[in-house]
Amino acid sequence: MKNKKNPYRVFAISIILTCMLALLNGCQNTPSKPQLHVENIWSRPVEVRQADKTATGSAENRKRMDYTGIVYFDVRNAGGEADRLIRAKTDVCRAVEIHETKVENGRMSMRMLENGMPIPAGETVKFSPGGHHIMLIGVNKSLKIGEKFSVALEFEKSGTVTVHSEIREY
Amino acid sequence: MTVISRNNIKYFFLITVMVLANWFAGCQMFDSYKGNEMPPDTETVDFTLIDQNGQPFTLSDHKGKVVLLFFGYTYCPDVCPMTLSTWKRVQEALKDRSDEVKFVYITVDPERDTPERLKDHIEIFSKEFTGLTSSMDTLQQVFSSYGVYHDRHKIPGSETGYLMGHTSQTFMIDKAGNWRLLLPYGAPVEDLVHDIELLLRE
Repeated sequence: MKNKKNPYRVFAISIILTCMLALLNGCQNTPSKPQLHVENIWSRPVEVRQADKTATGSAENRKRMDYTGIVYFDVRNAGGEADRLIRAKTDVCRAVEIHETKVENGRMSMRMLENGMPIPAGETVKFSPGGHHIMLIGVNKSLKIGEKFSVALEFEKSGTVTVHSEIREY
Repeated sequence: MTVISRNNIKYFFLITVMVLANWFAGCQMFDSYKGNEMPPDTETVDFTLIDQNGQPFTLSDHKGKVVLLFFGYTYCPDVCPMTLSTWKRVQEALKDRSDEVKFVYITVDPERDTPERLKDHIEIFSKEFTGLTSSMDTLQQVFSSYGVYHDRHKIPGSETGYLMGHTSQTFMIDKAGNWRLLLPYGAPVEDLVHDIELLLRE
């Protein structure tokens, strides 16, 4: 025989309902899209000698004498889906590439990340000295301490995020 | 009573002396280098290269100072400027004592690194730093003497002209001109300052 006034049943149902609501809420707080926050963006100063910049000779020779620079930052993905940094652009140089430095057994080498850099969901990926970095190739003007320049970071899913890099020593 | 108190004083002195002796011995024993020590018979080969002002620089002329050596190139965007930036902080931390230290950056890429280019690059960090270049033949002798690795290569599909893989440690030479320590890339400023101060105390 059913006891409709069983207080335990009401109690149990309310607990189940609360749990379901909490779950729903949780889902809403973690969207299925990537949610990127680019923070702590900085570059090192570069001194570009005008004579070298206007150096004549073959394109290969000019490339050889390029000045290089760097952009470091942290990307925090607060969303529920992974993203990928695929390329970057800026006006201060001829080309931009995503590189990785490896220091092993006291030796340094660099490689290019042709497929970009994955930014997993819920993680922070650091582009920092001695690790991943954005390499500026053929910097076309001196980058002085205290100045800023804009960099467009292109992500596979989030699209282009334009940030301002601050030039400092460390 | 008087005899006992005299004895007490004797024991007190004895114990104090023992404690102090232990303490001094402990300081000496535990204040070891942060960097990797080179074997005592490691040869330090002298060299003469060209500095960023076009002047000759001979290592043995700097006996009496602690010399730091780093092998890098100005096209390097990451590890090499990071090391110079660390050196700058070391120089600042040493204050007046930095006069007793020579910071020397030797290029592994003489094809690009003319004295002018070295000057522009190094002096971003400090005008007191020394940047050295020469012909590849002359540099090669220095690399061989110090076991410096360097590898010129191109990355397929990259806009970079060519890159150099290279040894990334900081070499430390004592005031007598002996190569004593190797500090890994990324060694904290405090470690470098610590080891320089130990070498300066000798």
